[in-house]
Amino acid sequence: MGPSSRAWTAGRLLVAGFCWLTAAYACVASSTFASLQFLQPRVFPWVGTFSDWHAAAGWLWLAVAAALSWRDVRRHDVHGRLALGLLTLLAAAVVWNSASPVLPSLAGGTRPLVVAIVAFAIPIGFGTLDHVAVRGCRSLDRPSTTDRTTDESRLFFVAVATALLATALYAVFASVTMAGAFEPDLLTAGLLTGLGWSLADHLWIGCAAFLTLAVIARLASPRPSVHYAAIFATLAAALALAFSRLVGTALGMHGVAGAGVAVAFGTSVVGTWGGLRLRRFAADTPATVPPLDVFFGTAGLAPSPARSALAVGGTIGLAVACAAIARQADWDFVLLKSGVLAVWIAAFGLAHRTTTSRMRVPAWGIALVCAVTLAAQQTMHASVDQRRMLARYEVYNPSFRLAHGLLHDVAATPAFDRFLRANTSVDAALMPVNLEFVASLGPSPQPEKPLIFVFVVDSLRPDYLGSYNRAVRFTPRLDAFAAESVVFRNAFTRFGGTGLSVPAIWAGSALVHKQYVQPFHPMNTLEKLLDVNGYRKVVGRDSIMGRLLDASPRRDELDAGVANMDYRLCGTLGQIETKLASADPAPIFAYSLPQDVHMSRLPATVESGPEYRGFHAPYATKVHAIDACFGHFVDTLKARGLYDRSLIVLTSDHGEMLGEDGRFGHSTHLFPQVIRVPLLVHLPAALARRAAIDVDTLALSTDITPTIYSALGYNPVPANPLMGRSLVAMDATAAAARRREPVVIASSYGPVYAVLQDNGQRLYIADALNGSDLAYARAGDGTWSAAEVTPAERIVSQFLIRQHVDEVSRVFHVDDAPAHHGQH
Amino acid sequence: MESLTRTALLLGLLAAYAAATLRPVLLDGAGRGFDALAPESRFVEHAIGEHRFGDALPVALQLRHAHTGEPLVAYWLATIYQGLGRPADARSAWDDFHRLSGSPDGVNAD
Repeated sequence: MGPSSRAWTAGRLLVAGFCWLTAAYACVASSTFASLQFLQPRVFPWVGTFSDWHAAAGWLWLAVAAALSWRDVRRHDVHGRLALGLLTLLAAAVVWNSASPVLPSLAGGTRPLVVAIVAFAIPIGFGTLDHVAVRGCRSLDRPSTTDRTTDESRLFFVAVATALLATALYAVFASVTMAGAFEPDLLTAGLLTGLGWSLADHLWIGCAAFLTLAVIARLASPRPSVHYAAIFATLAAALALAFSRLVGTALGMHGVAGAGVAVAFGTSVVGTWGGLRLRRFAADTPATVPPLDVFFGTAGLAPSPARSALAVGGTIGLAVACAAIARQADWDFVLLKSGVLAVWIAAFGLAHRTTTSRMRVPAWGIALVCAVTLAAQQTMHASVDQRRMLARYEVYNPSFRLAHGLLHDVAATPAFDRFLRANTSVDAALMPVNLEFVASLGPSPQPEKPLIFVFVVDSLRPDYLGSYNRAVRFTPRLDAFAAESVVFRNAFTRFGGTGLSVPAIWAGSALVHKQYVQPFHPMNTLEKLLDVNGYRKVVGRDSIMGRLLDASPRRDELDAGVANMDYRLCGTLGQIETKLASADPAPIFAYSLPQDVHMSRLPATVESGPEYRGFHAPYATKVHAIDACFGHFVDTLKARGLYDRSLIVLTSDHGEMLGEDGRFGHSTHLFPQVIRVPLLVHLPAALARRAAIDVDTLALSTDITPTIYSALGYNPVPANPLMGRSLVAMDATAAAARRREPVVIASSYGPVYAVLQDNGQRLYIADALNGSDLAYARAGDGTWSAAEVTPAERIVSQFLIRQHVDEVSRVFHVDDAPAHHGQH
Repeated sequence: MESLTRTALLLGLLAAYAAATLRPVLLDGAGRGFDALAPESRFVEHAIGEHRFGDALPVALQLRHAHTGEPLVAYWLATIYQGLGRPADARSAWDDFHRLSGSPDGVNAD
């Protein structure tokens, strides 16, 4: 099995693939939030399995790498010595990794990025060996002037054809995915507008790629090795840039280390592919090969129609598969856009291989197409209506989303974005501050303490509950519970994403953007309340609660031995019912964060009944499942005579995107669907009689804890503007103040902030990850729609966000910390 | 000769594409002169956040003098005057803000 065989190439790609997967894991682990919220809770179990078995799999990988390199090692020249040296280094690395497994120990910081660079460097090492091995082989061409012109013509044709192919392919894709959707903005005019812009953007990218490669060829072609190196560097730089824009941005990989990883990625991929192709050419092809053909294949003189059709079908299949995978699990379109990029490259390769090298395009033809494309792209300015159409068209056309984003997403306020990044994911060591709702907290003045149950159903959306949405027919038991409870109709989370939303609920306050200040107890106003009143805490010790709760003898663990992501409300409620039967006289406090409706736990498809029409069926069926269990729990409380003595809170830590605008999950999003939460509060009978409640006033998740203070007879007073307010002491004055005040919300996982104004009717979002800002307005019927960001709104909202960040710094003494760094 | 012409043409086109790509970055680098994150701007905003309106006013007035067309400074002044209990000045600054930001009255700015 030599370098000319397909099996050898596949084996080498397998070896490189293991390294790339290792690097990908390390990149994810470099983000503290991703490590805490994605890797450690094993949101996707196979990722955890890969980490567990990585050290052992390393030996198998080494054996495969050694077998594939054996022929190289036996050569008695520089190449042989290099191969031996590389294998020796790899063997040492595998021994090291076995003695001290690297992947499971990665959690935030710079070390994972170093591991990623090392992992990317291994395929670079093999690629270097490949290039050294073919040195001296006459595999690169020295073209004549005529050849150069025809090569250039072919390249021009390939670039334009790729742009047209991508435009057409994804236009059809958009039409198919749009079928059945109600899109008033995408009627004939909207579709034509989208198609026109898509064509202009794709052509622009095609022409730019052509001009870059053509100029390189013109300047470097007298020396084939220089030409090859320039093409190599250009492709590696393009991939590094794409990696940085797509993956680096999403994971907050900024700075020198982030750039280093991006360059290593680009070099690793291009080096591996270029090396493998050169080895094939050196072994198989007696003729010389132009450098671009090394990467994208040689032109057939008469490509067979069957093979061409197969290649086109393969490209279409790749596009569909990438979109389908991204639909299952994605993070701010990283997979979707990466898939589109792969399709572009595949389409370019397809066009490159199926285009003969006998054509000749006149210079004026090239100039005309490039100039017209550039002029069109520079002069096309979308009106307000057209911008709305294009925003909707992006939803269905991922290739247009990528192309349009590359060309038009320019940060409106880059300095402000830098400010947000600097104050997000603070990595300085902070001392906890003492948060208090009551000056000298003593035992409750009430003789009888209520039972308290707080259920924070991860990712539950209010519009999937009948009490918030009349169209819902699958939550009868929750609706019955709502009828006996207070339904806060205007509730929002204080943080998008579990990582900071849950701590904020327990603290009853917006928090410094850090996961997590330790010890958390001084800020944990809810736990302090429970402790001083002798509550028995029945709590699931998930990956977050383990960091928030103090060691306490009065803690009774729920879901012991169950992985975080396997918490199910039905199972948890059953355990609570059992614990209610305990002889312990202490009042009970139960808390759980069930994962039933988390995106990673939804089935891919379900048998969709008529009651789910208009809803995301996999999600709705899960909501229906928890509905029955919750109803049974309420029945149990009633049967035991505990219901009227109970304070029951049913809410969520954040909402979820369920396909709106093509988005799934919550990521760093602060869209209305993500920040709105259900908030159902069943009050003990005694409290219900004296409570002052306004269900239409904006309520926040940080209001839950002060509300519990009120339920125990305290008069909670927020010590600073970041702290919540009791929802059952909301007299007319307090309600008027809350309706008037703007509220700043933050993403848990990135520099994305939002401002709610007009009692939650207007939403401004500043996304410093993508350098964009957005606005949404809520109509009287509760529906949200995208709105234009006015200059005044941008100025005021950004001022309010800065004020909020300053207040956070003041309260949590961020500026006093020895080294204050955010996501620079 | 034809080869040279063709090379020049390609270089010219590539330069035009590069200029079009870099234009937004260059425009941002040129800036508008006003920086909401400059130390004096941050001083004003910190002082407003801490309700030290008297401290904020002179710096804000200096900034208005230096950047007459900047709506954020007008917004600061409206907030400061309101905090100082000078409603007439606040109203005037508020009108300036609306005029400079091109917004209709009362658009999400209270």
